Amino acid sequence: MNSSNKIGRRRVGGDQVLKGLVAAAAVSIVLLLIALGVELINGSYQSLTTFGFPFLYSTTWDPNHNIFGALPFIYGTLVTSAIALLIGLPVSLGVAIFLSEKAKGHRFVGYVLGSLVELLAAVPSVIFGLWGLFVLSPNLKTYVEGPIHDYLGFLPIFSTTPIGLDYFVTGIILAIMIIPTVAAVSRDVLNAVPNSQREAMYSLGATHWEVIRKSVLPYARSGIFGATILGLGRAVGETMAVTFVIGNSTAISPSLFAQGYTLSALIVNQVAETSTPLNASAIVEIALILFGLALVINIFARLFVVRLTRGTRFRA
Amino acid sequence: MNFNKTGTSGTIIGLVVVLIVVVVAAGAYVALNGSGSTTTITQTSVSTSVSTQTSVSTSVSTQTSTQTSIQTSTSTVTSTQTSTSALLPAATVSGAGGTLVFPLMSTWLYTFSQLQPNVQVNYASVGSGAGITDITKGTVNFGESDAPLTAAQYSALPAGSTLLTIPISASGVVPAYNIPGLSATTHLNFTGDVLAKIFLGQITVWNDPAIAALNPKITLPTNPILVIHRSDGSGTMYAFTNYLSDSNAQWKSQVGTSTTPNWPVGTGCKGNEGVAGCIENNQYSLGPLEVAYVLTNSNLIGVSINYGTVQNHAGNFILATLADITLAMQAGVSRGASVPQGSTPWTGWSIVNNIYNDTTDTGIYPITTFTYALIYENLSASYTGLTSQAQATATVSFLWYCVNQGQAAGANIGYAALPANVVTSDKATLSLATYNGATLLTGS
Repeated sequence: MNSSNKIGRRRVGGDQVLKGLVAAAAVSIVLLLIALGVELINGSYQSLTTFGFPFLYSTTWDPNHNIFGALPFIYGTLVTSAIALLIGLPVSLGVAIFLSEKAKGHRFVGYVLGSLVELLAAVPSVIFGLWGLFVLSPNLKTYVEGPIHDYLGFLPIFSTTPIGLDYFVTGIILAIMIIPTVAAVSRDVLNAVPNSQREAMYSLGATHWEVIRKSVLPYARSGIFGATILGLGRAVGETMAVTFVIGNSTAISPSLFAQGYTLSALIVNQVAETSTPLNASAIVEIALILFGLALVINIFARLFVVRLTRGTRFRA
Repeated sequence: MNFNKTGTSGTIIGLVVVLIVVVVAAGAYVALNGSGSTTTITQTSVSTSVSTQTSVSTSVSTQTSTQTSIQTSTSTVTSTQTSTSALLPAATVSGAGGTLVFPLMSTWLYTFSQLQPNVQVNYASVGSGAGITDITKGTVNFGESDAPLTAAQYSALPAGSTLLTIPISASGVVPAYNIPGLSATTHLNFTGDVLAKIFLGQITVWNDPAIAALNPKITLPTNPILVIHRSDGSGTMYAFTNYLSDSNAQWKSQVGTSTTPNWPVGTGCKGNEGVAGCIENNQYSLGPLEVAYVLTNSNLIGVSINYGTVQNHAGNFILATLADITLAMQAGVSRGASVPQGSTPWTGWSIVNNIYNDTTDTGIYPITTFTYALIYENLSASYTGLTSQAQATATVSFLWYCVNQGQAAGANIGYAALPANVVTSDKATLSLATYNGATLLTGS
C-alpha cells in the first residue's frame, strides 16, 4: 500500500513536469506566431505609413528613386500558384488513388512508389530551381510553349514569344514541387476511408471507378482539401526555385508566357541590397503581405474543411 | 516480445553510435594536434620564403626535421620581418558582404589560414547591402561592399565613428550575348550609349542602324534583342548602370546608378551564373556579365555565349582582359576625382566616373569596378564588435594580406590584380587603423 502510494505520487510529479513542458512548447508556438506578426508590422512601419493602402495596387518598384508598389508581385504569386494547383492537383489525386486503391494488392509496387513520392518531397528547392533553369526551361520553351504560341498565339494568354522564363514554367515547377505533398497526404486520407464504404458500394454492383468516385472521394474530400491547401501554402511561399525561372520582371502581363515576379522572389533578390531604410521597410512589408496571404489561405481552408466535415457527418 | 526486442536492438545501436562518436572525436583530436604542429612548421617555411630566397630550400628540404625548422624560424625572426609573416596570436575574425568577391575571398581564407594557423577568418557572402548593415551594427569585424556607402549609409554609422574604405579587388562587366552563326573570334562592338538604348528598350533589334554602324563588317541578324539582367542586387549591376548613366542622359534620369535598378525592359536572372544560363539558353539574348565568367569558361565562347568589346573614351574598342582592367584601376585612382583619403566619404566615387572622360590611356577597359573592405578606424571602440587587440591585429593583417600578397591568387579565377598605386594607397588607409591609439599595421 505504502510503496504503491509513493510510486503513484512520483508518477503524478513526473506527469506534471511533462504537462508543463508540453504546455510550454504549445504556448511557444503561439508566441512565436504573434512575435513574427509584430516584428513584421514593426519592420514595415515606415513603408506602411509612407505608402499606405496604395502600396497594394501600385505597380512601380524602383529602389533607386524610393518608389515602391506590390501589385506585380501579388499578381505573380497568385497566377503561378493557380497554375501549380490546376496542374498539380489532378496528378496528385491520380497518384493517391493509384497508391491507395489500385496498388493495394501489390504491396511492393505501392511501397516503392510511395517512398519515391515522399523522396521527391525531400528534394531541396534550389535543386528544382537549377534543374528548372538549365533543363526544364529550355525544353518546355522548345517543345511545349513554342508550338502553343505558334498555333494559339492569337489568344492573349499565349501572346508573348516564349523564352522559357515565365509564369507557365514557374507554375509547372511549382506543380512538381507540390505533387509529393498533396499526393502523400491524400493517399493517407484515402487509406483512412473505412472499407465498409467500399464494400457497401461493391455490394450494390458498382464498378471500381464508381466506388472511388461516389464513395471514397466524397468521404475523403475534406482531407483532400486540406492536402490541397498544404500544397497551395508551399506554392505561395516557394522562393528559390521560383526565382530562377520566373524571369523577375515587374511588368504585369495577361500572357502566361511573359516574365513576372513573385513576393518571395522579390524578397530573396533584394533583401541583401537595400540602400535606404525605406527600401528595407518596403521589403519587410512585402514579407508582411506574404505572411498575411498565407494566413488568409489557411484560415479560409480551416473554415472550408469544418463546413465540409459537417456535411459528411450529416450524410453518414 | 516484439517491443522488448526493439528496445534491445535500439540500445545496441545507441551504444554503437556512442562508440563511433568517441572514436571519431579521439581521431579528430589527435589529427588536429598533429596537424597543428605540422602547420606551424609549414608556416615557418612559407614565411621564410617570403623574406629570403635561400632559406626556402633549407626549410623545404628539411621539413621533416623539427630541429632544423626551429633553427630556421629563429633565423627568420632575427632577420627583418614583415608584419604579415609573423605568427599572430589566436583570434577569430568575421566578415560579411558582397558576392562578387566571394570566389576570390574563399581562396584568401584558405591561403591566409596556411600562413596564420592561429587566426580563423570567416566570411559570409550575404550581399553588399547586408555587409554594410553588419559593419554598421558591429556584428562583423569587417564589412565588404561592391559599391561605396551612400550618404544615408554614412549617416547611419555609430556616432563618433570613422569608417575606412579599402579597395581589395576589382572586376569588369562585359556585354555577353548569344548570336548563332557568329564565330568565336568575332566580338561585336558596343558603346555605352548603344547599350543604354538597348536596356532602355529604344533599340530592339540586332540589325538596328546604331549597332550596324559599330560593326560594319558583320552581318547582323534581324531578330529582336532579348535583354537579360541580374534579378538580385549586385555590384556588377552597380558598375554597369553607373557606366550607362555616364553614357546616356535619359538612363541617368530615368534609371540611375543602383545595385537594384528598376530595369525598363528585360528578364531578370538570379546571380552571375543565372545570367550566363539565361543567355546560353536563349538565342539573340544580351546581358551584362562579370568578366570572370567569360575568362574562366573559355570553352563556351563562340559555342553558346560570346562577349563584345566596349569603346573607351580614347575611342578604342576594348575586349576585356585582366590587364586592361588593371590599367583602368591605375587610371581610375590617378585621374579625375581624387581618391578619398582617411575618413573622407567615398560616396559617388567610382573608377567608371573617373576614367569616363579620360583619353590619356588608350587601352583601359571602361566598365571596371572596385570592391571594398570596410573597417572602423578606431578598432578599440565599443561599436566595432571587436573584443581584443589580437582580433583587431588579425583583421588588419588579413586585409593587408588580401591587398598585398593575396592579389596573385586572382588571375586564375578572373580577378585583376590591384596596381601598385592602389596597394600603396590601401596601405596608407590600413595604417590609420588603431587599437588604443596604437597603429596595427607595421613593417613593410
